[in-house]
Amino acid sequence: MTTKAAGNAGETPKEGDFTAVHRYHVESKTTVELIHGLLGHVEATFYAGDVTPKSESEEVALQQLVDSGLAEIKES
Amino acid sequence: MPPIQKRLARVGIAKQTAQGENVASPAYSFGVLGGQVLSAEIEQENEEVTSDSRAVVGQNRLAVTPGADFTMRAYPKSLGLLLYLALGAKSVTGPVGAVYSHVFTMAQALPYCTVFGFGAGEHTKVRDAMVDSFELSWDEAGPLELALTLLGCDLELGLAPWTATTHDRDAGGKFRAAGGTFKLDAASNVPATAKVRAGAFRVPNALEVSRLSHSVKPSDLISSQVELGMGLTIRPDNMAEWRKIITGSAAGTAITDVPVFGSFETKFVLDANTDLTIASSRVAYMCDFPESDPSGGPVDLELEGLISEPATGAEVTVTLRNDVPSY
Repeated sequence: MTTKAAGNAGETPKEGDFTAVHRYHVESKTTVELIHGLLGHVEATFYAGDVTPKSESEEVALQQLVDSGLAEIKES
Repeated sequence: MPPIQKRLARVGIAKQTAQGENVASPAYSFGVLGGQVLSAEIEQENEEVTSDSRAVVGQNRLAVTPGADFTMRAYPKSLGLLLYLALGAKSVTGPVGAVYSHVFTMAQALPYCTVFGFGAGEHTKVRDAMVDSFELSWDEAGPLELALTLLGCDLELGLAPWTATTHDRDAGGKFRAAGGTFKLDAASNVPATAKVRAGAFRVPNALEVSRLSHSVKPSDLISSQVELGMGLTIRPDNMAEWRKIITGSAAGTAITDVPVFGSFETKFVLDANTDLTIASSRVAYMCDFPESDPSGGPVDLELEGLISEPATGAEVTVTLRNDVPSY
């Protein structure tokens, strides 16, 4: 999983804290829907261009697009 | 009253957003080539108690598992929903013109669906179902055949006649092998055109039925390890693909110590805007050396490919292009 907890130095990360590690380049407008073991049902629409995931479920959805060949991981 | 007509039968499918959702009507429906539009497997045993009669004293009902088990043609609209239910993840891009491109890949879990049945005069529903087994096969230039087994957690009988949003008919077209392209390489991730005669893409989700004490009905379903497979029968000009499996290369002469991974890409074309492509880049093929025969005839090789997890990307990618905006 390419995610990590965010938070100020010394703070214990809270549930829901999320900082993207990867950025993605999405080829064209894409709607992704998948059943993920931990997150349950994930559905998200991404528009063509560079995307930074805002949540763990978005990160998973974007990773699925990479697997499908519809997006690529872009170096930050 | 006349007897019941066997020909009058169809199946409807609808995706559920979650377990327990009661779907009123199916999204897609279609006729079947054969099989059961509804099944209810009863597990029952004799009560083994002594008696003053030699007859069985009674029965214990242990489990009842609803489901459906049938074969059908691969219709371009409903196939997308069935692929999603079998694999678990989908994405859609487009439209380009009026064409949407759907990509189906494996997810960590499977969606629930409702299977509507009409057969033997009964309108039925299997709820909280999942695809247990999905097999898409073809022979020579003929039409694709899809064999589906679904298991569910509950069933409803005596329903009013149901109507699907879309009823797939032969008139709307079906996928055939003729006009397609068939590629494979037993030892690299770049498949090349091969003389394929038949094939079968298999998704055996190997559902395990979860049972609790309060009911004979399944409480839930969960997929086991999935041995995704692609079987391809080729009529080769030489034994290169077989040699690759044994030695690792077409010109190899000795057994290799490491497993050899290959690839395939099969594409079925209905028209300029409708096609289906199944591809994988990490496939462990197995193949027997052909038997000799005094009566003669060409050699066929039957390659059985086990699709494995690649370093990056999807295990298998199924791309369906059609005019359906979303599944």
